[in-house]
Amino acid sequence: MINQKIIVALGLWTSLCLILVGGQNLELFGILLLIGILISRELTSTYTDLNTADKMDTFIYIGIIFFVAVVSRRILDILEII
Amino acid sequence: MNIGDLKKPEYLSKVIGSAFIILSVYLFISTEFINTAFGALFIGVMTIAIMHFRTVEKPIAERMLESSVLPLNDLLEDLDLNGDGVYVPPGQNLSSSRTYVPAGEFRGVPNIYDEMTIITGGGGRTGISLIPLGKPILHQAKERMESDLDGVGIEGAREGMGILTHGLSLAKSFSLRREDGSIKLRITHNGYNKYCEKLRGRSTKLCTRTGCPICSAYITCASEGLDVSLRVVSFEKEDKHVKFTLEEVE
Repeated sequence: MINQKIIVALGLWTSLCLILVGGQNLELFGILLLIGILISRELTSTYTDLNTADKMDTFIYIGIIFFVAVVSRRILDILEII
Repeated sequence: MNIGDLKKPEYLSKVIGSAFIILSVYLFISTEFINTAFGALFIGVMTIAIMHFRTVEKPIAERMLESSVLPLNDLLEDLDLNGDGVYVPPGQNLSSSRTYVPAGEFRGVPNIYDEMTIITGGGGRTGISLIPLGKPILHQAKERMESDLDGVGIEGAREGMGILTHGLSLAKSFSLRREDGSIKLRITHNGYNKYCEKLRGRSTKLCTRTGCPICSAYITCASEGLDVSLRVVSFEKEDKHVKFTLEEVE
């Protein structure tokens, strides 16, 4: 089943990200997870049913909000506002 | 709910997902492995959210597939309709695909209309026109396609078959190609091989006449994609591989 394959792929990607990032940078880790889910959403778009696609989109929206927050924080940091 | 039900993917996924979430809570509270906790939470929530589908027991699914094939096969057997099936795509007179089974020797495809089942065309072109057994399955695959299937060519047909194979898990793999003026279709079974063998044990003519819902879905997909009527010329089963040779007919 395609849903099982997605979960297994994301599990492996998460493990790889943990090995690469370690316990250091949560922001980078979160963005890597977002990239993983974006890639799996794109590669499986024709094979997944609408319900699964909608749920994956929800995770992507949450990830994008997280990404915008990270970028905003970095900009404010560079501008020395905070 | 029985304990045995926990083996079903929809319940098992919830158990596994919950375990990951509990692990993440533990890691957040008791350790400094924040990334690991975040990763476990991500996998746990994803597992619960994505593995949402209900499953049917495999033997039940096979019996349901059989229930559509066997009565039709017995009827065609009694009517002595033993010609090889022709998969006709939607066209001028047809709004959806049909499987034409000639009464005797194939002498071309007659004019087939939506409301006609028994065909008594001129020139000995007599037979029966049926809705392909795999049409509902193909319809399910079409809903996932980004473009329309009708007349998109061999690549589009392969895309449709890709959804049947990887999206609906009907087979392990497939191959569709033109060779020596004919169309070669190979389907490699995965979970439905025993079902295929069982049906073939009942009637070997079934495969060339109307096919089972799985093979019918693949050939109807090829016919609609290529926008041409396809006649089953030969059929071969070797191990888990099902091989059809299809001829384009007018």
